[in-house]
Amino acid sequence: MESQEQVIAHSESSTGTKNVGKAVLRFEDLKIIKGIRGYTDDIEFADQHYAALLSSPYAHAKIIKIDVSKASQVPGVLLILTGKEIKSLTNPMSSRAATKSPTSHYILAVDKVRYMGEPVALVVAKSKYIAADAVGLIEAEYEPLPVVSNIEDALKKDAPLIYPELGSNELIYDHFEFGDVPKAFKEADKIVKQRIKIQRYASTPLETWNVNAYFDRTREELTVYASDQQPGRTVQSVERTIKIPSSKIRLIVPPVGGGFGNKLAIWQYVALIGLASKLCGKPVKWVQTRMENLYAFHRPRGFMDAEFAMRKDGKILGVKLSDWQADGNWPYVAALYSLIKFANMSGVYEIRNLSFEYRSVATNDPPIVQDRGVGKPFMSFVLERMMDIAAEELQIDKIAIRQKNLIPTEKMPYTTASGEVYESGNYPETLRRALKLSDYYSKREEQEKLRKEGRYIGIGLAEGIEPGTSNLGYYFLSKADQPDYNGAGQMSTVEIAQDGVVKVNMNGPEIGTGHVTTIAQVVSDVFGLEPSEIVVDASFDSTLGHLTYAGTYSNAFNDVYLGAVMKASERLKSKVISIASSVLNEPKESLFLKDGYICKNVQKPQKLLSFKELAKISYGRLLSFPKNEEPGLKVVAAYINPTAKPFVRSDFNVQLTHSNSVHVCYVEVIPENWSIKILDYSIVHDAGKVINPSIVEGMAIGSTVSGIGGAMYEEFVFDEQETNLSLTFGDYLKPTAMEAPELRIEQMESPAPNTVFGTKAVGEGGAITSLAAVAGAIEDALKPFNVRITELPVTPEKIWNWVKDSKEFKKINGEAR
Amino acid sequence: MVTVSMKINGKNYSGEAEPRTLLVHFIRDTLRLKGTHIGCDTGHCGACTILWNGEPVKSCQILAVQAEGADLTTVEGLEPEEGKYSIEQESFREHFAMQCGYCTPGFLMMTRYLIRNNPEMTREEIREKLHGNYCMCTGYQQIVDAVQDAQKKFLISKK
Amino acid sequence: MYPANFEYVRPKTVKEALSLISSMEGSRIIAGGQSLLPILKLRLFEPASLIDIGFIPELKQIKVEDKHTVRIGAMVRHHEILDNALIRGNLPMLSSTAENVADVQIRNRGTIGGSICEADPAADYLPTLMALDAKVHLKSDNGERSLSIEEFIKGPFETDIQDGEMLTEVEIERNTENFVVEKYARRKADFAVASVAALARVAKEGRVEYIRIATGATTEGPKRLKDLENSIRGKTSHQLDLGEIVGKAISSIGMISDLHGSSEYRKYVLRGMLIRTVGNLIKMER
Repeated sequence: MESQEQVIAHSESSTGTKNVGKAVLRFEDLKIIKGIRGYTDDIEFADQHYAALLSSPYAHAKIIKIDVSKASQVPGVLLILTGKEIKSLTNPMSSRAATKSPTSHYILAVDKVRYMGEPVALVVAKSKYIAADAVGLIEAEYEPLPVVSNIEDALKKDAPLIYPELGSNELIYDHFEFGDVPKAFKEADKIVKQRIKIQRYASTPLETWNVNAYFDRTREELTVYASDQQPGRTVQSVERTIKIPSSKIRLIVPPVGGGFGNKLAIWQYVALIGLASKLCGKPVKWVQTRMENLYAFHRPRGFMDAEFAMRKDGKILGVKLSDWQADGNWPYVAALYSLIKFANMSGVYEIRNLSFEYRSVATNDPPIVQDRGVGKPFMSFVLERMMDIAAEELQIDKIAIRQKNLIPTEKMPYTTASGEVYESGNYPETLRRALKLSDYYSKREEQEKLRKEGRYIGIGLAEGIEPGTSNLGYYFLSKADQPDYNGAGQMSTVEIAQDGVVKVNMNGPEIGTGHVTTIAQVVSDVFGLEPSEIVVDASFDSTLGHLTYAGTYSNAFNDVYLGAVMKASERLKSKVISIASSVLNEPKESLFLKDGYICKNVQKPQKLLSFKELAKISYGRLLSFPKNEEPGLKVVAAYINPTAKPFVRSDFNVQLTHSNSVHVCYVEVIPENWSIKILDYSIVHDAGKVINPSIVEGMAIGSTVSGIGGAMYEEFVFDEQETNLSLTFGDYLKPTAMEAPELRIEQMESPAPNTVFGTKAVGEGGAITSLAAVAGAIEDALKPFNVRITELPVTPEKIWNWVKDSKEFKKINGEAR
Repeated sequence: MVTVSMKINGKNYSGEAEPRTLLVHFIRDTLRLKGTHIGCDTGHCGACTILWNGEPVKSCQILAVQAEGADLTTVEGLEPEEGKYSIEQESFREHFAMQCGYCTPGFLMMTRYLIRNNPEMTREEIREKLHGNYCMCTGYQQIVDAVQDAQKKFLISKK
Repeated sequence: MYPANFEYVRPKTVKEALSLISSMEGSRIIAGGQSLLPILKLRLFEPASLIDIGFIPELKQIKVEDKHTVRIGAMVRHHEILDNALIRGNLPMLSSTAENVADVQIRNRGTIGGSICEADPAADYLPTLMALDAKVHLKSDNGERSLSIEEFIKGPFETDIQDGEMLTEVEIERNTENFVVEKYARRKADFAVASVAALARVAKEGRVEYIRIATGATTEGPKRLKDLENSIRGKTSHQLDLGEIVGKAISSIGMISDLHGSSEYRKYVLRGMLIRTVGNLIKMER
């Protein structure tokens, strides 16, 4: 078993890294611009049938009766499923969640609905339109139950219980403490306290959830195409629920139209549609509507009570956080967000005394999912707001207070108080560069000038840690049972096909983040080819080797996927050289790969054997094949990030690579309507080594704009009956090209010592650090009004509510309101 | 069922559709042109944008029967010839203006129209013209770069 | 996402359309479809039949009669209102308003007739049409009638259209006075949180000879602010305390309240917008 150090040595010494750091134009784009990308909905089976869902209009209700008699009469309807059939045919969805698993959650609602939009019935019909017609004719009768719509009410003594079998709406309570927190708070010159809230919001990939399943009755095999970000685990979940052995399931993930974590929860529907196909004997396709997508699977809302023990010079002595999260009624990810938040609670700062307690609370909020950042956006928001608030209360400059607490680069790699290992990073330098890039001090001068003219101008700065590659299983630190899987790894396949072409199957879903091109770049260097000559398969296929939790999420691509691809490539290359050496009777050390040939004599390359010829020998001419080698030129390799620690409560890491950035946001608030204009926005970010700078820059921009959406526009609004009022893009407001500002970006590189190329997490970054930069800027603009911003989104109407009783407001508006 | 006749990407087509069939479903499911996408239910996101007599429309906001006699262009009709790429397509690729690509056909159709009808747009004007097309991945900046570049290339090609 | 079934007819003339409207039970007109399609897709409303007036040439005409009466067919699309030379030349305020409607794609399909009949209180045309004293022409099998916008719009999403009637034309007298059309919304394509449509003519000595002010997003639909107009007419801008008279004029207005703005907030925004826009307008000389 090759060690990770050896992999790095191979890539550097023997092949060079000619294509690393190059902005190679994306190969994925060639299909996209022709409209032939091949998303899940583009695939049609012969005799394709379609599924439609009936969704619950109530957030909490008993299902009294579902009458499908009229619906089944509609010509073209093949099958209707309700909770009754589901209960007898399937197992409940297993919980990898709460300490005591609620067992009453099935792939369709059984007996009870717990959120508005919960699927209650499924229709399969010849066309999408007929299926929708039939759904319209299903008569469902409900008995509404008292609704639990907020955390405080959920925890009251006689609160209605979301899961009666649990006896409480508190799914999990836990508390971690490190260092000497009481001492820190005793020695503090000032305790800064604040409650900070976050709204329910979500990345909304433009492609909704799509599943197309075909159960072949002769082979007793289920083939499913789905836009799924964690297909490895889906296969297991499908087996567990609809009882088809995983060895008889083939799950294929075509290119996905955006993931962002939202598509990690699709497995319930893969099971449901798979079952539907099995029962009706036809291929069944389900295309989620946008309204269905907006019903559920968002980031949770909640609040944190933060207490910072401060020395009067700005040094943070200790931090206490109390986190309350409305995890809805999908316990499968309870604790997941909380523990990631906790692992990041000291951010880029040296804080050794930490206390974190959290509550995962069940309410009739809809289910949550691991959406972009999974708690880090909120944690970073809290941390950076507290830095600004502490600066204000201590009368210290906002930059100075950060500089005082940043982890110095000499201490890298740095282990936080809880055991999270920051492998590299230069936080003071990132800050220095950001101040320069944004022309921060000139902006402060300009702000002074413009303030005197009566304009409301503000600057916000935030420093964020942006980790990736989850050490899976960490969320079980709070739970009684053991996780199905843990660690961080992936498995990929590299081969020289029989036509001599180098083929890579990363075997991780392609969600749009440039995997194909990035892999082509690094693999081309191994084999001495051009990136355009490497064939990279951009889909996941469960029949190929994969680890249990294979998928594209938590920014793991730059770490374990690249690792697996490189490991397989280097092994294949070794094998090629070894076979060629025997066949050609040349010493291994004299051979190298160039332009599709095994060559010798580096100064004046001599082509000895083509890849195609070698493939012919390795796959077919076995009498000419060296006796000590294995025929074929295909390698499957799994790569593990070696820094993943087994979990103990006193010392654990949740994520394994740590990028970081500084965002500087410059805004004006217009008092006529309190709207916010972003005048300027600069980012310096460090994602370690960058393989394709244009791809990485694109993700920094995109993630930041999605963060701006969360900071200023996006919120799922519920009434007291937990009716979701934000079910179209007219009500749930996404930033368009007009709301997105121009971003100025500079990249710096602190290579990670624990990944093959030194690459780190890319993809969540901007969504994490932008929230506090934007909120801080707006708060700064509103300084004359004495507003403290402790919630999101910051909207013009909210600002009006905050300022309208202030002296400054009365001054500019006369006495009239 | 009603007979519908129209021109799509230069080819004449005549067939049957239910009156309630959305044009985007007609394009995707009956004509099997999968490049035009669906991203929402309410005509907001623009993923379904095509050209109708050269002008952009949202095909999910039109019934197929309303398009009787229309001259439609979809993303499949952009390429100047087999294996080649149009100015819009090249500019988008050169500027990394796509990530998952789901919104891209809609943006490409807008670009085809804009560069021919609005020469010399500023970046702000480009953003304004594109506010009916949502992208969840790119943050729009590289798309604006691509449109500016396509604009330049188009003006040069006209000289 | 999938409309329910309906019958579909495509009349070639207004006469044919009117006969279908009165004879087909549960029928609904489809013009541009930009408001109707989302309603059909979400099955908020399931008409038994749709009468497609998109193929009637008579409804697509734009004419200027006697050099001063502009007649715009119901099927004239927003992008034409924006681009058409006759409208830009004779009703620049209307062209300017069309620019605020939704986005490029929707403007290529949506129609002025459809927009007026939808009567969304936060939609863009209605305040402008009110300020311009526009008239709508309605036809039926039995005859025809003309109404002012005030008479036609009864409230949010409610018009005076009777069974068997169809809006065929909008008639507006040529008006090239100085104007302002503005809407404040969360994003450009969204419906107005508050809006102002105003015209003014200021004489050489600064006296306001002519003033019309209308607003949208109120609980009554679009509204002419006649009290405010009366307070301004005949005076110069120096003689006016706009803050006071605007405050008084809007104190009795009920603003709509929804996810995008409470009524109190909308009132605040409207006040500031009126003071600024009307203030600038009455300073503008001819």
